[in-house]
Amino acid sequence: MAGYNELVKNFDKLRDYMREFFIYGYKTRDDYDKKSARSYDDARRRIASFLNDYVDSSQDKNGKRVSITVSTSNIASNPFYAAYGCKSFTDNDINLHFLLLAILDGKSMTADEIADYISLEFQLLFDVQTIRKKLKEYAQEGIFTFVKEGRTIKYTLNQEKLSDILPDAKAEDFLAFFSEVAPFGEIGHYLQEENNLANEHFCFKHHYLAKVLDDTVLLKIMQAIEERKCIQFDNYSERLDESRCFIAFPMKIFSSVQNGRRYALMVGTDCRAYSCFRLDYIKSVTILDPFSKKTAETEISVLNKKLKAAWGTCIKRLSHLDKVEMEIFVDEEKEHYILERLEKEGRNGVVEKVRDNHFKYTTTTYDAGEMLPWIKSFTGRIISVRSQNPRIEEVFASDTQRMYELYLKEDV
Amino acid sequence: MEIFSEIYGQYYRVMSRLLKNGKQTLSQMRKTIDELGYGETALYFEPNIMGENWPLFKKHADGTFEPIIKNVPSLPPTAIEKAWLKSVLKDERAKLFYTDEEIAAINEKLIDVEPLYKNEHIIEFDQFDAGDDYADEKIRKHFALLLEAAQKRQVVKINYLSAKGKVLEGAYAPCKFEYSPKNDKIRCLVVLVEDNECTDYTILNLGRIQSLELIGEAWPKDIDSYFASKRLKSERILEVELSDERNARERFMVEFSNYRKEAVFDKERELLLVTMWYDSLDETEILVKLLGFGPVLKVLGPENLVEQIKKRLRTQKGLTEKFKASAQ
Repeated sequence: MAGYNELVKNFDKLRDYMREFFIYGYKTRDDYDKKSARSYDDARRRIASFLNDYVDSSQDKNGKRVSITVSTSNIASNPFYAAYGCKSFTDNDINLHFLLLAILDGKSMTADEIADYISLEFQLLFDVQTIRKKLKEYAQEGIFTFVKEGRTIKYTLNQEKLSDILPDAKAEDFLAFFSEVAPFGEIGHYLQEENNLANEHFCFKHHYLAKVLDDTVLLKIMQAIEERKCIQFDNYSERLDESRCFIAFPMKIFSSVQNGRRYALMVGTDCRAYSCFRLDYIKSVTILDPFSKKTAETEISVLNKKLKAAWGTCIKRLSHLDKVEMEIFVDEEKEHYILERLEKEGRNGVVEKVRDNHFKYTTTTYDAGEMLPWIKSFTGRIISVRSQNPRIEEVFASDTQRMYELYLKEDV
Repeated sequence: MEIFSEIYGQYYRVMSRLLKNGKQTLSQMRKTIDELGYGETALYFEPNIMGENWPLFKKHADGTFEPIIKNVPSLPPTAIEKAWLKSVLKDERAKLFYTDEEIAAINEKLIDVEPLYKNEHIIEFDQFDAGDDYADEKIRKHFALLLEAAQKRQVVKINYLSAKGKVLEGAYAPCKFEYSPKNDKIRCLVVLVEDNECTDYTILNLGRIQSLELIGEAWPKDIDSYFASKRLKSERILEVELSDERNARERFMVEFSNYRKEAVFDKERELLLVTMWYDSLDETEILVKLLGFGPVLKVLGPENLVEQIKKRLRTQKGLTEKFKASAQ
């Protein structure tokens, strides 16, 4: 296949396909009609090459399917980190990387001296400008340190080791844990790889792997949040099947630990409404100028006051709250764990005893509809559900009726 | 500072190892590439090394390859790695690994480094309350002792108060630590050791350990196979069919993306059929999550799970009828 390369320059396309194969592993080649057949075939080949143990290909009457499937309870490290290792590079990049590391290990030299040294010692020719550019880049990355002597700059390899920062005895376990649970865990994974450290002692439950694919986008948004700057980005809408460009002021990242999705909560530059954008739909983020300092502070302060009443990602800047009440039956003697569930899962709700074995959970939130899956998870003990939003009671009643029809036909 | 950079790439890692390996034959080289590279890395590596693109090896007449550089130093922690470490140290969970004095000393070494991100900008909105308190001295001490025991493969004596108020006491081998961001809790997967024999496997919540001491006894020899067999033993298979109402297919595949699955779309019925493998210990949690989907999915198996759903629905029906009648 001419032109195919295992490495890529741009992460975005790979990111899309990896997610598709992981989440929508049931789709066949024909379902990927938005992208070219060549692009699909290259992505499939690349992903099979990176994640061989987790890629499943099968053929059925609908066509060929490729899926990534992982049971996360038994993995030592997120296999998706492999995708972060596939950045393409030039011949000069790789040659200079190893030559410069070796030459500047314990020695201090200028770009001209390095060019001469490489020519004499290895009979290889590199343009001084190319060397200078690489030295500057690696100095920014913290790989080289430099001193200015008049008009010349002498570079040397930074001799710092991981063990100079993290005490040795616990570094391996510390990195094994945070490489999986902290944001931007792939960076911890780089440290593990460079220092030959592994995960011997940890496993993870409710571990959502695909979110790391959005980390390049997340980093830019987090930077904008910290610097109180607006961003311009393309957002893909699944419903409309189109991408649109937005400019907005990002204020918080909402991260779900129950499904792994992450969202950026932003306010429009006119400060009229909040929007939560899914990170996996965001592309091409550009950081713009700072938002007006006074407006930014006001917006952040307004949002912080509103966060407490959020059930999910819906927060309304100008709107009243819906009150929701759920009364449930709990055998107080034997089912104390249900009351514990209400307390720990109820997000700012209040639980009170109505009478023996009857308890009422009450909360107020922006969109009671977001609570429905949680409410329905108490099926079998719900006495009533009430909300200022009448749609909630209707949906609950109709869903319950449909559940009876699905499962209890033989009872009728 | 870029996350997606060739500096951390697989090819650089392979090249670094090849250069460190010194003089080597082509087959030794291929073995290293296959071990460390991606599936097709050898196809791209070999021509570049053999040709003039990556002239980092001398080719000898005897067919061996010798690196032109004698030393291949490791990369120092880079700017982005140090910035990440600085952020992670501010995470409450770092207190499990290091004492306050150690954290202060590490921070001192990173004094000129700006954190990569701030935890305050991220809201984990659906995390359960009642997670472990990582600042609690007892939890920190117990975790440190358990981790030390795991590193040294030694048994610890544990006194434990279960959620049902039962006291457990015995000598345990802490084989693994399991963290759940949803519960924000650490659980220790332990094997009970009696007379140097593995006699039981259980899971202990770190926060429920009352007391703990290292007793210096080594783990039984067969513990790894015993532990693996206990963890594998309880796998069950869930079968569901999903419509696409309320975006159910995507929601299901995302919410259960942490489980191994197979999914096939039935075009005629417009239903997605999913087979999912899960641990029986997770069954109640899965049941509760499935109920949350309501009628947009139907559970076809396993039979005991379907029966549990039916039982809850019958109880629900009874409750609804009873209270409707009493309200009238």
